Amino acid sequence: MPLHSFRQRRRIAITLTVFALLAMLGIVWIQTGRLADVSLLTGGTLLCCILLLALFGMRRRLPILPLGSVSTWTQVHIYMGFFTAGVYWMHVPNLIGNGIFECSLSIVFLLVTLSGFYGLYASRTLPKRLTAVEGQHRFDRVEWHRGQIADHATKLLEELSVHVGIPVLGSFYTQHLNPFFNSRPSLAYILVPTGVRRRRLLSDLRDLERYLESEGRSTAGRFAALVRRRDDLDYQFALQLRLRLWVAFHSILTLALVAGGLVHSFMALRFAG
Amino acid sequence: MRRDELQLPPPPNNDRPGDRWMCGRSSGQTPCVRGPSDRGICPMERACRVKRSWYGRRRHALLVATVLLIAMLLFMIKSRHQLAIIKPGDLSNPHAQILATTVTSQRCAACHPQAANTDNLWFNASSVGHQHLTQTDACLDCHHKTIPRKVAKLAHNLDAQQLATLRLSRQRLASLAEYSDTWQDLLPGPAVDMNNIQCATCHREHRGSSADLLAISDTQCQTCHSDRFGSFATSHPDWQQWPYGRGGEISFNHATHANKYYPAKRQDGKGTPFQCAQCHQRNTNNEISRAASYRVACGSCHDEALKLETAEGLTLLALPILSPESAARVQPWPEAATGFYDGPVSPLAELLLQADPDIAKALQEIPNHDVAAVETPAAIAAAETLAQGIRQLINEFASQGQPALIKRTQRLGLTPESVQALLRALSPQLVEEARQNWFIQQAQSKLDPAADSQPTPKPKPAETNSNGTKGLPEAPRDPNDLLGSDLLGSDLPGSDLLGSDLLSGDSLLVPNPNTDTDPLALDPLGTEPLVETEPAKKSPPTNGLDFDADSMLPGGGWFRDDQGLAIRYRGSDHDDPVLKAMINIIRQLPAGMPTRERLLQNRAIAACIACHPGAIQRHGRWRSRPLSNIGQFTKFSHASHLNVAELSNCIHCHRVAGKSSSASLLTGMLAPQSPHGQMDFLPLTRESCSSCHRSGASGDNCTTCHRYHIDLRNSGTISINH
Repeated sequence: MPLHSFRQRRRIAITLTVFALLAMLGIVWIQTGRLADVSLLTGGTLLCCILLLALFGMRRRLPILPLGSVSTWTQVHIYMGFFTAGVYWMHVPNLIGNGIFECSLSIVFLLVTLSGFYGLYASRTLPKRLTAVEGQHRFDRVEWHRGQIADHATKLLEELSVHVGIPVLGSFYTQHLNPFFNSRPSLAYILVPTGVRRRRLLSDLRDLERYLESEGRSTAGRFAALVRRRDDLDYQFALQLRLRLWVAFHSILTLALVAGGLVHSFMALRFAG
Repeated sequence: MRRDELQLPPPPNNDRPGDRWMCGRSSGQTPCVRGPSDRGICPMERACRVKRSWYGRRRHALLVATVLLIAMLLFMIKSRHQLAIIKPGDLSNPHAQILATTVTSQRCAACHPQAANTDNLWFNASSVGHQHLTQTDACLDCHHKTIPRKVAKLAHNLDAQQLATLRLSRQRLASLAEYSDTWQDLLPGPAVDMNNIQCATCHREHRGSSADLLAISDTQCQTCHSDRFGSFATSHPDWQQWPYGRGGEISFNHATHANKYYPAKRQDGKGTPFQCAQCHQRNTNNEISRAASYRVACGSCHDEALKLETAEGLTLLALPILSPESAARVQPWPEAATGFYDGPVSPLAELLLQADPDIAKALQEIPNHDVAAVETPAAIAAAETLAQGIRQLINEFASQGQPALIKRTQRLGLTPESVQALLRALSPQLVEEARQNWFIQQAQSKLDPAADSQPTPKPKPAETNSNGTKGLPEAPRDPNDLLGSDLLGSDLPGSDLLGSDLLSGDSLLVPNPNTDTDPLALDPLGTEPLVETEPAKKSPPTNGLDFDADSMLPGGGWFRDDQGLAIRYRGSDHDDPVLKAMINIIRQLPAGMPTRERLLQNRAIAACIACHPGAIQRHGRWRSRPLSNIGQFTKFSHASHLNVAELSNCIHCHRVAGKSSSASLLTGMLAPQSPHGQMDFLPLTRESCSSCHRSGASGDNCTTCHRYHIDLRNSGTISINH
């Protein structure tokens, strides 16, 4: 039933958005044919939409006010974003403006729009990927967890008996596990988190088992568990960072877009006619 | 070992997601429970190096971005590159070239009066930016030569009256043609005031150097129109007569020439076929010329007839024939111009005499402008006043020359230049000589009896020419003729027996007002055979009596007609300067003026105007010129069309109406304003254009064939496209 409700809601929202866009397109066409100054109409609509979209960020900072649910606001934000992109296409003669300021403003708008579209995609896919990984870690505590994992790995090595497996596991720890536990994930991994590193380390640990007795094999198994946990942590870190960077990018550019839009409106009104 | 079997310590209980700072202690150390303060200060004795939380980093980035944004806006406002930054786009090439030489700080203000206000002038009410100037005013600072300021903001640059004319014309056509009922008619009307249309309504700048400032859609073109249509091929209104019927300087009927005159010539075996290119040749711009010269196109057929017509020429003045009594009262008056009242008043003389109010009044008393019709005492007195006026005119011209006549005509509003052109070849000496011959020598001959032996010239027998002058049948004076000067023409008081009481009651000598016949005209004495035969024997013709203008003035010119006692002009053939000057004078006379109408009836003048109807309407309209499309609704260039092989054949579009075709009548009916009143071509159909002019081919936008800005300063009239 909830799934049906969601689909119905999305269908209604898409219909409304398409209808609004078609209505706007018709009004613009008619007004253009009447020799009206359509740029004022589309520009005013565009600015209002941008301000309304920006208010979504304000709404999230005022959770105590009875302004409707964040979910509703999010839906309105998404579909109004589509509508705003359409109005922008009606407003500008070229996708990217000609002048320096207008070119910058159009690029900012397009970046905000594209980041919004990406955010829509990310908000639909990344949570699933995050929940698919065991454990939930707050972003700010990821580093603490890394330290705990690294410390635990060091203790495992120190607890190992003197004559058993030290040369093998010690050498492997020094060459492979220590850099893995005590360093941050690479930029490549953050951008595209994959299981290559994890599979390589686990495979190497499995290969060491032939040289180890039972205690050494147990320790190697604990190292493998720590590798899995650390990799899962890095995976969560990479995806959370992506979500957070997107939000920061989208909100900061929105601020620039609002400021630029207001300046543009002022100049357009001043130099019109 | 499974990862969940690995037991790791739980995270410290110091989670404060909304804080900007978090403890900087490493994982091996125990984090502070209280954590750093809001200002990022660790409260512990051995303070750690606090770290920003994600929230803190984000706020920090937002702050930096805000500062950068403000800095960029300030830079944009205060920078010397401000205009380059805020410019919304490049100007079109023509405007950019003009403004390239303008000081950078004034470029915006050149088109945006609001931009003329600097920060210091913002509060100055008298600054340019506060004078309520619009961009259109700035546009017209440069474009006022092509679009007058007075009509620049009006729809189509036409005032209310001209727009009303267009509407009426459109309505008339709509009643003739099918009204195009399209869905475009349902669209709302214009969003602009028809009397205050700004340039920027259609011409949008800052769209880049290669942008088309003239780009406008068909819907925008028609937004003000009551009847709108879709595509050109399907619903454009038909034009009924365009491009014909727009008039021209030369009157020429293609149909009669193509169907009648040229075939007739060809039957004689000496004519050429009717070919368009014979008259309409391509010029250097590959455009079609309106017509060839007269010598090339018309002379071979029309020269002889035209020479006959122009040879009739003009009559500057002619002495009327007065009765002896009247002649006695207007003394001196030539004996040769004495007899029975006769002689029409030359219209040109009438024009010159109208400067004198008394004579003008007398002219009105003379019935039909002909002295022969005077009967009443008032009319006789008017004829005498006329005679005195003509004599005065001769005296003035003989003594003062052209300025005297120019002065007279100036009172009628004629320009001195036009009168000078008429009189350029007329020497005062010629008039003086006429005066000597007609007035002075005769008077001397009366005083000198010996002179009586010389025959006095008399007007020719009655002959009426096209100038409205008549020569009277006149025989040389016979001294033995009892009805001659001795008895009938004596100037001595009381010596005129016919004027005495003895004859005043004689019904034979006094015209009978009921029968309007002169008894003397039936008098055998009036047809005395001896009177006619004697002079040939006694006196050979002298003093220009035998002057034959046809043989002696083949090139035309002014001459003295001693037989008709007139000063006449004989025209040459085509392009006669005096006849052209006369038509220029006629053009200046008010329409409906009787003298003007009489002048237009002159055969030579009528022959000129028959082919040059425009010359009587506007000054200098003699030569055929291409009909200018400039400033008109419809624009068309032959040059681009002639590149198409099919269209290089003129008759592909222009079909001369056949003898049996009713097209001529039809199109003539639709063009009542046509100066010729008839069309000699079949109507040009829309289909002949729409075969190429459709979307995807040669284009069918409104602006392909029409222009919005109509400039009537050259043409004066609207060439309505129908």
